[in-house]
Amino acid sequence: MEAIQIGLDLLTGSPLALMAVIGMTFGIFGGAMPGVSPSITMALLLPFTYTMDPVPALVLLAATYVGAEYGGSIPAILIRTPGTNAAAATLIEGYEMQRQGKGGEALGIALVASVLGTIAGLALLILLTEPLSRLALAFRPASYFALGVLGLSVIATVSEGSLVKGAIAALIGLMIATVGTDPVSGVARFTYGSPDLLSGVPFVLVMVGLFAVSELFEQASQPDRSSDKANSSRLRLPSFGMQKTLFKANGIGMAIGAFCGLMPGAGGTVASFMAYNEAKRFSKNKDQFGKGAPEGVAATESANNTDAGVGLIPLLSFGIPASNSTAILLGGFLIHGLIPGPILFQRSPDILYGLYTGLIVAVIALPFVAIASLKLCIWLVNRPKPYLMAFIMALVFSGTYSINNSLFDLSLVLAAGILGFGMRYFGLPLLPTVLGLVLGYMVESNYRRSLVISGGDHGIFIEDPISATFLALAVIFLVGSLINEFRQRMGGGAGKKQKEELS
Amino acid sequence: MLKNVICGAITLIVGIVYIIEARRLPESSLSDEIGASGFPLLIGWALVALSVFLIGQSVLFRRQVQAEEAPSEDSVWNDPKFAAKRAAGLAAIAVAFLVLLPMAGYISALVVLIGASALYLGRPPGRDVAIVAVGGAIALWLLFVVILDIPLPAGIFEGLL
Repeated sequence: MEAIQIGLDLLTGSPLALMAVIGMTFGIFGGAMPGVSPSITMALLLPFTYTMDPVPALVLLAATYVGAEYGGSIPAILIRTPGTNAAAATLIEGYEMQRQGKGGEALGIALVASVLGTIAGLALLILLTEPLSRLALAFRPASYFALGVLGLSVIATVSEGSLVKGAIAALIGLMIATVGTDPVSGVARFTYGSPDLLSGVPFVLVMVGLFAVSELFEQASQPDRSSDKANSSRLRLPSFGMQKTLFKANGIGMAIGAFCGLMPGAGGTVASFMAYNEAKRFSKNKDQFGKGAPEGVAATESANNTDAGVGLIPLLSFGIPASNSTAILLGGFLIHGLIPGPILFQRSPDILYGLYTGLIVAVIALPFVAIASLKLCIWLVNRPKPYLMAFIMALVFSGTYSINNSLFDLSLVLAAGILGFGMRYFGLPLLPTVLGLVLGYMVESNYRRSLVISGGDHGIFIEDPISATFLALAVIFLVGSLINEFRQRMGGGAGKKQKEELS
Repeated sequence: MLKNVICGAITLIVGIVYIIEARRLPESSLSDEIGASGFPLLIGWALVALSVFLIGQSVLFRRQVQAEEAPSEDSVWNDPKFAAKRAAGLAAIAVAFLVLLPMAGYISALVVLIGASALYLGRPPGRDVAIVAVGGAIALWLLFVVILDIPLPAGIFEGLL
């Protein structure tokens, strides 16, 4: 009851509903533009949230995230180019439907599936976050240190590329996090006399640079392949009869989306492809798949939208983001001095109830915004890519400059963009770096706090049962992944040797 | 394989430099047993170890690593020198924006940024680019200065705005 009352108070007393609608709209446009991922769309908004109150700021970012997951389906269906990675699975059946003149129906099915998926994800978020966060009340400094290590280990393991590269990327983030002032003694570290670095490297600028600017640099050498122009399509909502036939597919999508949302690193892309496979397996019309099966569109969209909502649970319960987008949302919390987790539930539950309320408004707004903005979305998708990229670059630099009117900030974003470009070239994943950056302070300060408590005895990390469990899991993830990689590589080598012996 | 070896070599050098710099951090009487350099040293040594591992892994399993590293058909990394040149050009435009901003003001610098980026990325020179550059700069100025009430330097338009 208290939560509902707080939610209603915030709805009437703050621009929460407006931010939900603006975020949803911006997210749909961002998601609809190929090459602009949900995390980049959110990163573009981060600098704007500095001057806002915390709840509207977080609602803006979260609604953008949800909107972008739907937005990616628009170009996937209309021009066979997914706006987001997660929409790649929607493309399979959605574009076939478009070729058959049923593009409007495909958009409608995607929209309904997105709404249902978002509702399911939101329901699970509201039900599970608080109980899970109560587990974290038993955490001591050693547990928080071990949780940070586990989070970094898991993300390094499941990120693109090899485990070693994921771990190196995480260490790069931790290194950047050590720049600034030592959390215990106040000694300046790696600042080289620069007063701008005394309070550390602002992670928002690094996030914007790593995700958005490096993407622009990479796209600078890609030819403009948008020769396919999206024709104007009228969105057609599915009839009740059609929706009944999609019930199973939607259900499969939601179940798989919920499962993947809780698994760090799995994400919407994995969820949507798994949902596609399972929807095909359990479908009575298997032969329709590959030829424009509506179930294929419904399952993938409900999966990636459920995943989006459920993916917020690890962040809100434990303060550990499990994806690029939730890492950006964590940035939104930290900008306002808020640390998600059980302490936030205890001290400022209104922040979280406000976030839930905002997301509920965003879900209600989604179908209306989607229908109203479709023409403008199609217009945007059809714009020459150079103009879109130039405008995004202008938005990134304007947003960055607006924080402190500082050329140093702009230089930092540019430097992070160059670092991100280099990392992409060498196949180093970006998410572990961002996680290392945002978790670095938590990991170091809790490590040192634990040793102060134990008088320098490292045994505290084993004696604390929660810490021991997390560290053991981290070791299992790392060693298991290493063995797996080694086996694959040896298997490739042994297979070749066998072939040579036989010939 | 060579790419991974170069990556490993770069991160190895970074790790070594980081360790050297961490050792030079001053100690403080307020510090704990770990000190300001403790955690950085841990990270530095971990980076050195992983870099050596990456180099070793790339040499020992070079065929498999080469197959894993091979970019997809339409990836920009099929021609990394070209990709780096194109990125450098865009970065140079961004640097020009940084230099112009305090001198010419927000709107003028933004017109140059949008226009130069659009031309560099492939739009033919013409009226369209000029309209998009000026229109885009004005739209962003309206968004930040008028709607969001964030002061930004007007530069050469100081008296007018």
